[in-house]
Amino acid sequence: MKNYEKELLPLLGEVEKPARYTGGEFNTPDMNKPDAFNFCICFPDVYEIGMSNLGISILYQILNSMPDMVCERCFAPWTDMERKLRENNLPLFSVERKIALKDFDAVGFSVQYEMLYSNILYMLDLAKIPFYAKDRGEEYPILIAGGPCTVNPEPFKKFFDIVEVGEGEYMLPELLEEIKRGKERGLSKTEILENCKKIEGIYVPSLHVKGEKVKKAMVRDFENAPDATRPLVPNIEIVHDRACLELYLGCGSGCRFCQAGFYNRGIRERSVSKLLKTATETIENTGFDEMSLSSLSTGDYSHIKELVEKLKIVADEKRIKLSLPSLRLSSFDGALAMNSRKSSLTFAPEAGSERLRDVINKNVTEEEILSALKEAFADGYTSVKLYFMLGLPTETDDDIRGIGVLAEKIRRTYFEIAHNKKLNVSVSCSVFIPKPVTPFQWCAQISMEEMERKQQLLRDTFKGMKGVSLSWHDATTSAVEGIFARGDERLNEVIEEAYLSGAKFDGWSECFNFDVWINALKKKGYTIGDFNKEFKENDELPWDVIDPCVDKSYLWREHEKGMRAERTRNCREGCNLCGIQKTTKCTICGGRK
Amino acid sequence: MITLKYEKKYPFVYVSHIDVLRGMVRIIRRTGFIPEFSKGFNPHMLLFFSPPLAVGVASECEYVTADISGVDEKEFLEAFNKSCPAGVRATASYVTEKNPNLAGNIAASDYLFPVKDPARTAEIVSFFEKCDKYTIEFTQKKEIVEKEVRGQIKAVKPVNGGITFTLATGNDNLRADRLLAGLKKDFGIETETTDILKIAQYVAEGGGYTNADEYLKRG
Repeated sequence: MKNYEKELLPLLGEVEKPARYTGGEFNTPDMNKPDAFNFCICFPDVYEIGMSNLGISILYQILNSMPDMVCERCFAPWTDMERKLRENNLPLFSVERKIALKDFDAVGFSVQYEMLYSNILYMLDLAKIPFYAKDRGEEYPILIAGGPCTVNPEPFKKFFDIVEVGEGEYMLPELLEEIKRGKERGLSKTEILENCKKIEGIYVPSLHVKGEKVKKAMVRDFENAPDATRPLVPNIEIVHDRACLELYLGCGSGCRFCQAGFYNRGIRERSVSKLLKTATETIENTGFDEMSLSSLSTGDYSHIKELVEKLKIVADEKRIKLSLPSLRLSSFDGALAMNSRKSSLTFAPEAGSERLRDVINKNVTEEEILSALKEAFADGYTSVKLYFMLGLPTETDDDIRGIGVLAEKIRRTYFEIAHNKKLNVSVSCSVFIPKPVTPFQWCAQISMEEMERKQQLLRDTFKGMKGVSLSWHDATTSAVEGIFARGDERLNEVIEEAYLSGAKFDGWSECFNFDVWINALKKKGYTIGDFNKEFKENDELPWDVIDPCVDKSYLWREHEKGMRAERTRNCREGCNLCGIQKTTKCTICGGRK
Repeated sequence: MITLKYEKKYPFVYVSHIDVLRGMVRIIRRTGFIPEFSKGFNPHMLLFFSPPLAVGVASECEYVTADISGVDEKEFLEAFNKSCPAGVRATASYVTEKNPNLAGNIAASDYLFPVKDPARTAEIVSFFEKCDKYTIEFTQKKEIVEKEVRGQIKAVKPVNGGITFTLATGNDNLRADRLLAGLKKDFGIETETTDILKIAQYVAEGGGYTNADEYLKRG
């Protein structure tokens, strides 16, 4: 395998942030194991974003701890490096040993969000690897997709030999061992894929038989599952530049718009003692001066107070800062939100009216919101970030105006308590995308015209409101994200067409070009409306190939309850029998009714 | 206080000064020896650095001072080297009573510019012996700037395989990579920024320069 370091060196002085491409981070494992199986994990965005991903960090450590496995990384090179690679006719290569992607035994892509799809082809193009699995012979590595977007793999499935569905901690090592065994035995790619297909969570699009379901892989014992206590320490600043402590998998809140909440069920918690051990080791092994507690709803962790109290002792001793990034309003506790600077709190009421919050099952009342914030303001906070969505099912204009009403009430609450300091309320509104494996998966996404009308209504509502800043997601990106979240296999060719017409780094506003996508759809004979439409109860959904282990009938019941603005209790108050209890036991109740 | 002299080489050579500051805090934390922190509202580790080095230029003489006491400096150096990413290695340690303030006191540095052709070396050295003005061009904040820098070139010496330039460093500073761009343009040398090696730093004292190592040895 050729090492491209010599070719890379002259390019480094000519690109921004050259350390993106050099490697050499602290905690880099031994990359020179003899006769190892070589796997490259790719993240189709820049280094700073890919390195912030906890999942990649965990998988990287797991794989490199295997005696005969080497796992390297590759990130999407920024456009300046792309130019240099093309000018010098160099293939895309890995960060660690600078080996061309096409020389690996297998290459995995972490597909974290829909706007990365064009960058998969961007990386394959730079790697000189054919886009479609059917066009790749035995000489090419086996290409694997994993990550949250595999909940609906149809839009990109033709680019991959294998799609991993579900959690990868055990599935990926097992899969790579199977590929390794197959290669050692001299099996053909098809024979290897046939064997891989037997592994739980593995979807092989080329061998898939209509009607078959791919059951998602799950980590059943999270307490003893491998974690990342020795992550790479980046040499340049990355987006989430801190240690990360994952308290539990899954979420019991049941917010009906939330894909992560339904797809990642059930709740699997780690014990306080395990978390303290992980936290201490991670801090010592990395030197990070900040640790964030991460889970879908951190404040709902069963032992959050005990954990935070004990972590505070560790944090004081090690002189590090703790941060809680994800708080449900109902779980806010001033003592927990221990940001020493008391600068900003972030909450996500998601909808402006109580009725609509009931529709989406965001079980929080206006009274609770104001009382939580009152406590925060009394505690010294002067800045609040609030997240909302526009275009939720059953939403009316009054619900949108309700966002402004709530912001105004928050302002008034603040000034009842603090008179001297300036308050900053930052309201951010995204556009709702009905995601697969949620109770709203049958709903249509609102049209772009409607998005723009609602955004204008929102701007009018906030006009003249002092101390409140409003931001919103661009309608065009929301529309493209929507079609890829909900689309089917027809989109593979659309992605290819868009990439060949210039689409890349679509998650970056300065790179995203809506016209390229519209033209690609048009050229293939489609419109946005073909993909963001409403489905009927009994329609076959594009992602029905996946068994998320949450019953479709349960999702429909939740859908119907949502339409009636009826709430469902948090799983922590009692099992709602969503179906996940048939596969794994939630550590909080073990499936008790 | 303990000052460590360290090398900054590939791949760490591509890490900017601001990221070096952040990275050094992490290296020191990983040693298990925790220096003093500032007493302000937002306490930070008390580390003091020699002047910044341009991205891409390698060095075997960078310095970082930690406000730490009760620690054996050799033990600290060993722990430091076990905690470093690729391209960073401490080569000496010094105990000083107070902060040597190298950021403020360093006035010049030696940079080795490899030049393959001895005739070209002689031409460049001879040029600088005779000229009293030398103007370079570089881009700053997206604008092309012209600057007369002869006064910031303190000495030019031929050495085996290249030239050593002693350049003003610190408050009055000439970046080696910017000088190199001028030399490439005017003399056609094939040296790249990443070929340059910083080999010594000096503190201005008594009308002359004292090597930073000697300065630190005095404690």
